[in-house]
Amino acid sequence: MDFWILLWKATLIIGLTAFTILAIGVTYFGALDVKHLLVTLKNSQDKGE
Amino acid sequence: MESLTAIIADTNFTMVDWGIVLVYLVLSVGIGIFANRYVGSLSDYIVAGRGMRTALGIATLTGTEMGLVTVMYSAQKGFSGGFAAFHIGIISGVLAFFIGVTGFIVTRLRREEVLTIPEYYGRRYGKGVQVFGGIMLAFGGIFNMGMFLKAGSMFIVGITGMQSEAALTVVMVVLLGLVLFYTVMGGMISVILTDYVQFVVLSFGLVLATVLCIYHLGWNHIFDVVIAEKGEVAFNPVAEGSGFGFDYVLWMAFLGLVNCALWPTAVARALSCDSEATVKKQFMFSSVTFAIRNIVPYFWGICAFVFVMEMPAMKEAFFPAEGAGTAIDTLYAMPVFLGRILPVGVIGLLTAAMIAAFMSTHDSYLLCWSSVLTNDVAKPLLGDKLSDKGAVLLTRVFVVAIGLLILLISFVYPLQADLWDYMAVTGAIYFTGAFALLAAGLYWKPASKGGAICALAAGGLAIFGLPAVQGLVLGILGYSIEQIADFGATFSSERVGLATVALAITGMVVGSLLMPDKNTNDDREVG
Repeated sequence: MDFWILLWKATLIIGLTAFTILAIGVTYFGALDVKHLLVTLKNSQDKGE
Repeated sequence: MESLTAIIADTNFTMVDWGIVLVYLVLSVGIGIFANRYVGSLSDYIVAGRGMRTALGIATLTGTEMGLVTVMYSAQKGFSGGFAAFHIGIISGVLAFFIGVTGFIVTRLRREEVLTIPEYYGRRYGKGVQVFGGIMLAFGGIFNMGMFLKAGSMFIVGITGMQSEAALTVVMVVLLGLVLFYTVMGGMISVILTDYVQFVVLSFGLVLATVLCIYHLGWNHIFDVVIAEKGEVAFNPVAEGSGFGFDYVLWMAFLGLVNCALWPTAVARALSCDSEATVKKQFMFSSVTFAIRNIVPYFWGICAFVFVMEMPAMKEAFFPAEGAGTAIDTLYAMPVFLGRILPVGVIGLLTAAMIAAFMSTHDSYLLCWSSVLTNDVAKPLLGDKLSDKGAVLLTRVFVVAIGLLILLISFVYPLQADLWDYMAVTGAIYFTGAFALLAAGLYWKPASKGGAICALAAGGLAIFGLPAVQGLVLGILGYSIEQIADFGATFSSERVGLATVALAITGMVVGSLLMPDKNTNDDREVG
């Protein structure tokens, strides 16, 4: 049972750490991507008109 | 024994928290109105003009796949299964990473530039398979979504401590109304924009709430209580009595693959990406969130279990002695626990985050099934009679119709004891057949229309994995309650699911070999 307890403890710690880092990165770069998407859609609408 | 109302009433939720929730809801509606100005064509409405880059892709994939219903059924699984349930999250993460590295199915679908999965069926197997596949997908998908609204609303009622008997109904109607509003307004563009905001609120809410759970109960204490109450079965997923076992783990491995490569809402994100490289990166990075979306709610469910076991009144309410009354639905355990331990402000933020999770899943699912009904059922049948603008309008009508249908299902269908297994089975109606059609269509030249129809029909048999359906069919055939229970124990949902997968693959292979397409030639595209 010790193996499983150690495995799930490690899973939780590593998972939460990795997720926090990912969340910070996605929050920053995602904001830039939102801007890019809206510009792309606006340009494609202008071309369509 | 304490009643549900009495247990729910004791919460830290205040007017400050309601204010936080309200600000978030107003923001979501505002995004819907703002996004509407960018919708020009059906492609803009369904796949946001294929202009999405990696970080936004990860945010929207996470926002969609980490729904409130996921949080609820995972917490229920953690409450009942303990840490052993973690294996589902790990398998899910590893398979998302595998899809990201190899691009299995998803990159080839992106290369095809289709709007939906059945549209690919149409190109590969013909119009008839597209319509049949579209109906199967929408049927399985809507059925699968039927419990989302109720389970999500139970969280809101549980954490806020609403007392009225009509509270659950009011919450369901209000939340559905909001989602319908901004999905109808802005389609995939508003879905992606709200998904981004939801990702930010949700991810930081998840981490903060988890840290507070550990702070409140104590890291080692959580493990000690679970060891004392349940022993090895709460940690070892293949131990006898764990409620899982080898066939369950194998079924979870297939579901992990399905969640990334076949589930239409996840594939819709791949189809919205600006390139195949972005698709791969999106899945590779999202593997962390595919694992966490289960693991964190399992952990909350486990913490709720520890909390309940240490409060005699709650222990009696959730685990009453034989003959002492009906147990409270275990779905309420996690929200009630969080409502009691989180401080004012944080509880409002977490509720906003969970409403974010609820809305981001609903909007994507509503858009996905309605897109399929428009693109793969109405369009092939109506042909040129359906203009691009008419298609957008029809998609919006389907969004509202499906919304009303799931509200109806919420009222008439009783919530199952294990929500996750219900969702796995209803999803299997679609994905067991879809796996054979996509894998064979993209990687096996002899795959034919005859094989595709056999595989889709075989996939539909997955519905017999639902205990309610088994009971209904066997009851009609005259079996006794004991015989039905024995049958259910032998033909569990995971065994029926795995058998259906094997049957669908066999149907595709045998059907294709016995009924090859007449126009088969060596240069036919397989991806």
